[in-house]
Amino acid sequence: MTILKQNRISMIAGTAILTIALAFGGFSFASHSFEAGVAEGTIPDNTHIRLDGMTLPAGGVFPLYDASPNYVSGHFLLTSPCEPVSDGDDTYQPLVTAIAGHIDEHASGTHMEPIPLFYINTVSSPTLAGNGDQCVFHAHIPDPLNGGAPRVTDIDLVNLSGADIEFKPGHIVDINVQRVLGSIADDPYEGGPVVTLERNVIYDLNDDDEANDGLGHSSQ
Amino acid sequence: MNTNKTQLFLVASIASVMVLAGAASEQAFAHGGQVIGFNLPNGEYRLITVIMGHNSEPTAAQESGKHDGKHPMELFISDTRTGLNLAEADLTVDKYYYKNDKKFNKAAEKGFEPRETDVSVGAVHGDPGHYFARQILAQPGIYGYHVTGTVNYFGVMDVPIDVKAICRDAPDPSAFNNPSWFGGFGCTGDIDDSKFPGKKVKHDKDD
Repeated sequence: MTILKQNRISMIAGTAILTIALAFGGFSFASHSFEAGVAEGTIPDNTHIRLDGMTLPAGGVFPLYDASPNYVSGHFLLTSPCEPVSDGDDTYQPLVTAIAGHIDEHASGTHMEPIPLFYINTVSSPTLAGNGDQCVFHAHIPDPLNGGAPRVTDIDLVNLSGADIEFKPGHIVDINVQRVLGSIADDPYEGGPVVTLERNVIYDLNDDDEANDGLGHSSQ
Repeated sequence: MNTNKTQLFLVASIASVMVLAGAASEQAFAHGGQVIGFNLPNGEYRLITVIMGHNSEPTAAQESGKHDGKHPMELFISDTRTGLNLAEADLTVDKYYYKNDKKFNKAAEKGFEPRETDVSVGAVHGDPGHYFARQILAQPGIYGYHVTGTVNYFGVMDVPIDVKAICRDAPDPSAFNNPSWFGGFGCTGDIDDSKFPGKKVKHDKDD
């Protein structure tokens, strides 16, 4: 009975926080200034991937999406176990790294870079539960302002943490592809392979640090 | 210094690729363009591609009862690296017209003067990155355009735009075009020129 009551209180608190976040968060969430979206009356392509139950070993790769030969634009959502970007930081980074670009049969045409991620603190566990069990990250595919690969056909997760990553219920990836921008056959990457295996750069619009706001979202 | 060289090399490389791509697809899409480089507030270098031509190529001049001559000057503006469309711009166009090669050559000597200036260039509804200066081409001949203004780069900054080109059948387009212009769009013909069989076809008496 006590547990049920506690759950109910948690649900109410969570719903309240979400409501407040949605009501006031329009200014805080990424402005999506360069996401063209889909034409009215058109439904975007959506891929929802549950990660729960998976253990990604150190150095392991989990391919999520491959739109080859088309490079696409869209929106990326990741919920993942997380840790502060640096000790004591109120901005969190996922333990797993999300990379995007193009993986070609020819190594010279392969180009993968970490995706610039926006940390959404209002719906992440460091804010809601005081732990790093589940952080929410958004990204724009591609992001012409903040970096990453300019033309994206492939999206993968890779474990650069040096230890196994165990995913639990609620850990997911959602990829919403809204537009085909072209064919990688017409605009190939050259001089590769370029595979940048670094942790994601994290932007945070909701903390006091303006240095990690990135471009295109200043109080809009 | 090296950064500037690298940027120039990058622009030249992209322009070369686009010229080749344009040549390959010229029959389907007779347009040309320019690539414009600039730095973001954080110092990162970026490129904008502006493609210019006439809508519904090949063009023909208006002729009563035969062709309406509606061929807006059109632009396609996008982020070069990603292909994302740039949907906000504040642009005008100065328009040039020469009836024939002789008139063009004479203007090349004396200086090109626009027939119309500061004509509004508007966004095409429902098609981000696509812009029109609506017009009816009234006469066959050599048409040129000089587009100026700014393009908003994803809400971060306004990038100055200066694109100038004459249709490619002019005697010496390079006398008019911006140096970095690549590709080309067609000049405007007489609608009767595209008729088949034309006036010159003669039939045997037995036919």
